[in-house]
Amino acid sequence: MLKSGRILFVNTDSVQAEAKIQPELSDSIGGLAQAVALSSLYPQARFIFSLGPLTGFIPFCSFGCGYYFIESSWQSCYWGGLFPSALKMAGYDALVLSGESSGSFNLGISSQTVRFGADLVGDIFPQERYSSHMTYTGSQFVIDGRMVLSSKPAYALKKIGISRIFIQGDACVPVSDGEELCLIIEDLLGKTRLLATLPGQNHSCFLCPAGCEQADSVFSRHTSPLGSCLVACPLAQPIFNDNGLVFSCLRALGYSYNHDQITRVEKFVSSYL
Amino acid sequence: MLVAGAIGKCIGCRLCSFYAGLLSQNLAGLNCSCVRIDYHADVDSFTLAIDPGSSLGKKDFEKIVKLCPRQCLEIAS
Repeated sequence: MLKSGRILFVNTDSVQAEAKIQPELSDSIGGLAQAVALSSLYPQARFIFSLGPLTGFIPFCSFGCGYYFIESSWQSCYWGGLFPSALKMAGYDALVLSGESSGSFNLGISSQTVRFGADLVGDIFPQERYSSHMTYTGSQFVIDGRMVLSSKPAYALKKIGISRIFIQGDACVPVSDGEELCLIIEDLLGKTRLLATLPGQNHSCFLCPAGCEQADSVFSRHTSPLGSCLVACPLAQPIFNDNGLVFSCLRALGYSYNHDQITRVEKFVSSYL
Repeated sequence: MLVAGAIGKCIGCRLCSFYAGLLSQNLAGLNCSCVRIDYHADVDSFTLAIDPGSSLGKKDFEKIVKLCPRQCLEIAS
């Protein structure tokens, strides 16, 4: 069962980290809606990285939603690669960062530990299936050595005092219906023609065979309310417009949302898009 | 050890390791220790290795190879 609502809170002022289970957040489905709910519950938060229920398990859903406080308002961005899947496989549904430190913290996250330290280099092992890193290079944040975070979220992160985040997704994650999941994956892979992009030779996001030209992009906005909660790739919106398919994916992973819940959340996030 | 070697077209989607993880855990979980991906920076490709102690058989491996959308895997041994 994946419906854990396990959130990792990190504060750079007190140099403390705490993981909390917050099942009440599960009503928000995930992504942008979950980030908005977290920002209300924790007004001291400054950067929230929120995952969707399908993140890391379903092709074209390997994105995460960055929700950050800048210039007296909250703004959002979306990125994929391996970072969101690594966080999910470390057993978290969101990462909430707060604090305003003049220091420069490197943050190492795994399922059991969170490490801080300016001198924490923490080699990233690309051979690990679910590891990822985001590093400040002096002028910008680079994710997995290739994807550049845009300037506003980068500024918000830097203001918190974060220089590097590396994640080791080392938890053993149970899957409710693996057989069904295999069938869904095969079905989805047959729909790549519906992607609003053409296959390329870039490194792809986790579970996406496209390797498209936009694979290195951070998207500044999402146009679909449900897509922003599932945190599906914005280029895969035509695929996830199929509600039947979305319910199949959710069911295979053990989620039991009904149509009314999804409609309610869609209405809720519409005003934030 | 059964090994599927990338032959130059790999874009690192890691569907193969995900699928192998699903199959080798008897569809119960992911992140099992018996599936490993090695990244070879010199040739920019991945090798998927399955521990002989895993429950995966030849048919499972053929499934994994067939699943690769880029057709960049082959059964090496």
